[in-house]
Amino acid sequence: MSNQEPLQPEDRISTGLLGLDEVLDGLRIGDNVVWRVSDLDDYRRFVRPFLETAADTGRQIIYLRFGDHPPVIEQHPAVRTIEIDALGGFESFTSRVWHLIEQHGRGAFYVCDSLSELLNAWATDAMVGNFFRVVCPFLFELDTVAWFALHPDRHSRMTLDRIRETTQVMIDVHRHGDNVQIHPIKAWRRQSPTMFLPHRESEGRFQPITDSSDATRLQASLELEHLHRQPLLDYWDRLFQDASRALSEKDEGSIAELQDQVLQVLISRDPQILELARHYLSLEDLLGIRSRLIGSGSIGGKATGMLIARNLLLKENPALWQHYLEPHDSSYLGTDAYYAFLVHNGLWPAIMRQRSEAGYLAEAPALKEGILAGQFPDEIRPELERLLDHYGQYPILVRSSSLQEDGFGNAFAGKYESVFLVNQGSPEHRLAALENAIRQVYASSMSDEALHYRKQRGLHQREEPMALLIQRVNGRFHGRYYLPDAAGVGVSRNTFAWDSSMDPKAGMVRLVMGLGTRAVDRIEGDHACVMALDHPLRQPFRNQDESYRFSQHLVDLLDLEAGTLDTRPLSQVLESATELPMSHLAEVDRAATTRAEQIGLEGPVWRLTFRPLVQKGCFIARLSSLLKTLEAGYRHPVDVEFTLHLDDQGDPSFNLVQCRPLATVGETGPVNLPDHIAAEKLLFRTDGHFMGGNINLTIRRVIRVDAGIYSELSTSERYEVARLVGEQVRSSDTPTLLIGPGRWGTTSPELGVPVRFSDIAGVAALVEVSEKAGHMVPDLSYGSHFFQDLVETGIAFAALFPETDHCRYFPEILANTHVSGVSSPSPETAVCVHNLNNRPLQLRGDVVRQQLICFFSD
Amino acid sequence: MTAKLDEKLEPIFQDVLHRNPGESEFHQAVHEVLETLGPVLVKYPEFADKKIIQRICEPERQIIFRVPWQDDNGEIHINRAFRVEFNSALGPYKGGMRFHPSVYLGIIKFLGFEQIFKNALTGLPIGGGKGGSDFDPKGRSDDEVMRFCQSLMTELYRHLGEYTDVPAGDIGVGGREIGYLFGQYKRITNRYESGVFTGKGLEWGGSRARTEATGYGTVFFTHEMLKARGDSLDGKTVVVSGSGNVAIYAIEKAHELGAKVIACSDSGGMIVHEKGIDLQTLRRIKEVERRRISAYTEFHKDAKYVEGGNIWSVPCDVALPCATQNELNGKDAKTLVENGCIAVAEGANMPTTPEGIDIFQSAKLAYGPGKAANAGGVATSALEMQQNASRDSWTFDYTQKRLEEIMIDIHKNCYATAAEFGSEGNYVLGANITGFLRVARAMNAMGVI
Repeated sequence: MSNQEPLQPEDRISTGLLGLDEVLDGLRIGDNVVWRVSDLDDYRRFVRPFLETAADTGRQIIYLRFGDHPPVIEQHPAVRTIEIDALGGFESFTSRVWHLIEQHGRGAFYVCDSLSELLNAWATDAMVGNFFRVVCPFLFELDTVAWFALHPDRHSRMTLDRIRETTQVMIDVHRHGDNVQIHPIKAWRRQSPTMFLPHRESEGRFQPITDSSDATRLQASLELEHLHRQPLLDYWDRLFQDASRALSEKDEGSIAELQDQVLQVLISRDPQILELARHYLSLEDLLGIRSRLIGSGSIGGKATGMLIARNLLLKENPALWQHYLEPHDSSYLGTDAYYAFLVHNGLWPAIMRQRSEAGYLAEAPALKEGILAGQFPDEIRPELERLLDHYGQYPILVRSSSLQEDGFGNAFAGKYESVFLVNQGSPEHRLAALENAIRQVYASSMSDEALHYRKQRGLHQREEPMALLIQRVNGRFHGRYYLPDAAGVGVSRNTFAWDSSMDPKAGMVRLVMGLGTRAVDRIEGDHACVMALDHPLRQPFRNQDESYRFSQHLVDLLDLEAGTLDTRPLSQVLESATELPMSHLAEVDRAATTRAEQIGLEGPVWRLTFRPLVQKGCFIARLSSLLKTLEAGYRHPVDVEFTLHLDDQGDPSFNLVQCRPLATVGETGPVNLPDHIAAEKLLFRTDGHFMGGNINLTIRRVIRVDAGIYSELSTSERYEVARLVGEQVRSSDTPTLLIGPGRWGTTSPELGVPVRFSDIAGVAALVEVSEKAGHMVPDLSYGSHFFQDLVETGIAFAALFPETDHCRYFPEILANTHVSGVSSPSPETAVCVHNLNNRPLQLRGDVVRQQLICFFSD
Repeated sequence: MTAKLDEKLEPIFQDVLHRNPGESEFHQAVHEVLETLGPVLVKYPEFADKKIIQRICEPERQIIFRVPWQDDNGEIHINRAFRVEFNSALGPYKGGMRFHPSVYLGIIKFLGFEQIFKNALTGLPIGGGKGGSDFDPKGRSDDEVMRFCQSLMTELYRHLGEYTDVPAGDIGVGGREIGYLFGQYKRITNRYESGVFTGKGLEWGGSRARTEATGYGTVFFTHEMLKARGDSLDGKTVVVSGSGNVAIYAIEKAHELGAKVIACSDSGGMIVHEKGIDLQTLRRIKEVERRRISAYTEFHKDAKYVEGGNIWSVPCDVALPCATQNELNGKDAKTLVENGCIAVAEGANMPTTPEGIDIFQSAKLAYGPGKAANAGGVATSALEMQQNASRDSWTFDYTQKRLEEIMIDIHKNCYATAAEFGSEGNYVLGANITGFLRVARAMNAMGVI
């Protein structure tokens, strides 16, 4: 405030009390007036005359009502009371107030409930200060006068200081029996010889206490009153202090209550997550989290998922997981630190613009830039330094952990950034890198992808503060490289069961050597090892050559010299990292080794098939147990990210880095399968026989190969069909379902359409139909021709057997939209393109119920 | 099946349809062969009199049998296996075994029928046959594949022999399966009869240069086509689609013969390297590291990778389609012709669409169809049999020399036959008729059997 020294109109506004006007030299347009009162009645007695006077001058008066205390203003004809729910959180509350101020425009007067009430809703005191720092300048800008109250003992010094620094007028009110004293603390750009002395009220006037000994006595008596009160800790600190005390005193009654309170402020308000957290995060655990938390507020969804999952395993199967679950020493940056960062950098107005319908996407780039250029508040930087001291020079990973992330129904998978830091160099350099990483993750909340995702799921109006999970990267130093032995993604339901004998309930894993980024992200041109946990060695390959070809060839690692996250060919990594546990993870490719020798390269050539890991040890048994335990605990299928640490014998320990309810492929939230669909609206329905997990897609185009016509074509014409399909798929990026007889991608055209994966990589869903027509052999591939590619691209896949009871298929419902006329059999007539722009199909799959339905929703 | 048959051949084809109902692939294969035989019957009426064509269309022997086996969980599976011993006029039945769920009698007969002429074209003493099963090796463990192979051979062994029927690999049957099949044959018969299988491992009776044979053979054939036109490969710019065995060794041989291969591809895209594809790098990427061809640019910054690029748009003198079926269509053929391409030889099976073939033939460029240009693989099988029969193991150079001689012979015979039938330079016609004539003459000589 003082930095900018904005202009303020000289017009005097009355407080309604002549005596007070004399003390303060009146109020000014733009004044924010903060009353520090121990008893809200002391605030009320000053509000009333102010209201009456303002009403007499015809001012628009708004009472912002958000506290639990009795109203500050009872019914008053000149006052419009607006109730605001502070429980929605800092962002939604602040946004609402902001919009109200904006809506009421210039010159309105405001009376607010006690700011201290916000502590009940938000728990964290710093946020009260941040709220004030956001709205106070805005009120000033709009020529308003706004009154606030707060309780002086319920806020930290830092918060009080920030409020004092921001406001124009601050007045302490003390009362001894019927004697009321006021003590102006701040009156911006006003002064008199006695203005900042304590004043005693007497017959409507306020007399300054001009005798120093009176003032000293007064001060001493005030201090005496405060002596037995709690020290100046904010609500947050007091909560944890109480928790600590309850634990040390084994006060069971308080422990349960405090656990609940702490969970609300530190973990989540989502009822499902809270229920889990109550079971698996004890008050002691919560204190442990607090000790590793920078700032205040929630640790966000990702961190919560990881912690719940770890504790769930340790509690439900301690014998196993005390041995085989690697310890963790993660740190957290609370959600309030994110808001503090925004407020500190003056980005709130930009946030408000971005939150509007028009600004949702348009304002995001500027906001992103603002975040990337932002500075951290002074109280955060030393904490970051201490965090770096803790991890030494081990690489660390800065991960998003937003409030909604990894919750039930909203995975936000890959929507926000995670940043690896090699954490090398001088402390200053490492701190700068960490700050950059945090800014980068914060800024990713404004990425197009994240914003679209939130909007599609109707979450764009909900607050989404970004907490951070900061983890030591699990791994080992190998010369210039740093990487874990292996990493993977485990899913408790096999969403890619490519063989009918595989039980989807057994789960699956995508496994890689090195950093798990290759298992988490879709990778083009390379392949993670995908295993069904009930048939881990069963691969959809015809022979060893294929299995080697579709294995992992590139390794993600941290290059300590280059200071980057990098991807290197395995052969290149092995040249400098000679102690990698290859014999536990890979097989020697004999044929390739021979060829290598022929061209003067050194062998052996390793292939990352992970067979030794599966065959020799307990990896699969442990992962299956881990997923089953977590699914039972969550009462929902889960997916987890983990790294593996192998001992000398190759026995794996797990470092669980993430756990969340299994996500959905598609656009919107949780999958709801309609109970009944009229036959004329149903394209197909199948129980089982689909891959891709939960599916929720809107299909705007169907490309269908007509089985009858296809069966009439010659081999050469069938290849032409494949080519035409490729052309059609590539011609548009409309969400497309490709459906046809037999095996897509077969090399035998009599079995299906011999497309190459590159022809069809752009489709949203691929469906094989066991349609017996002509000389077609109705034998489906279950996607095994493209298995690895389907996994990598996330294309949903289904196999339909219309002759069986568990499947219904009505291609004729597409007839009305069919653009090509039926004529003599030719490749052109075999490929039917149905554009459904105005009447899209819905494709929905529920992995738990094992049902997939494709239907018109109108 | 659109081309009209000669009036003498139409009843023969109708008879084939009648006698082999529901075997569409076989019908198609017979029709395609008959389409080219009209002029042959005019020139050689005795083949009609002796019903040579009707006899060729009927397999000498068809064996269908049950193959029960147990999976790793002890569950019993029953597959069906086939061996069609189609024609032994030129030598023992010779043709691969295919393990694939699409296998049924019609497919095996179709493949066996084509094999007769493919083998005959090499000029070597091998007849035609084919076999297989509807077993799907996909997802099966080594042990399961072994148990299946052993069960299959327990029945099939009685029909095989180095002078009787000599199977080899095909789709789903590679070195591993050949090993299991041969092992069981040896065990049951108590004979180390190397010549009963081809495609064996080098250390137990296999031939050198097998991996290289098809690619080398394609380039030898190309070289012969150019020589027939008074030209050579020396100094020519070549593009090769694919980057598998056929493509890699075609590139190697093309370089050896003085050409410069400037582009190759895989299913993801193509590499264009104007300096010439570095074979060492290509082999490292594809054979050792088994990666995508896009990795080539990591080693050669001056090369260009084009995602999804059409390799036939790269101007060249010679194009060698060595990737997959139907990879070169009419439009591609037109582009090649417009860019001045003078020769196309097929390393892959049927890579050019009928429309593409028409364009090449109309443009009078040297077009070597796959059945002739990629016969190097079949030829090496025969060479393996020769080595086994003589209990010898030839050097790489000697094997390669023999391969080259065979390819030169194939070219010579195709060229001569085409000329004999008034279509000089038409290797499609030459290849189709040459193989048939060898078989027909032998059958005619051997009487009505």
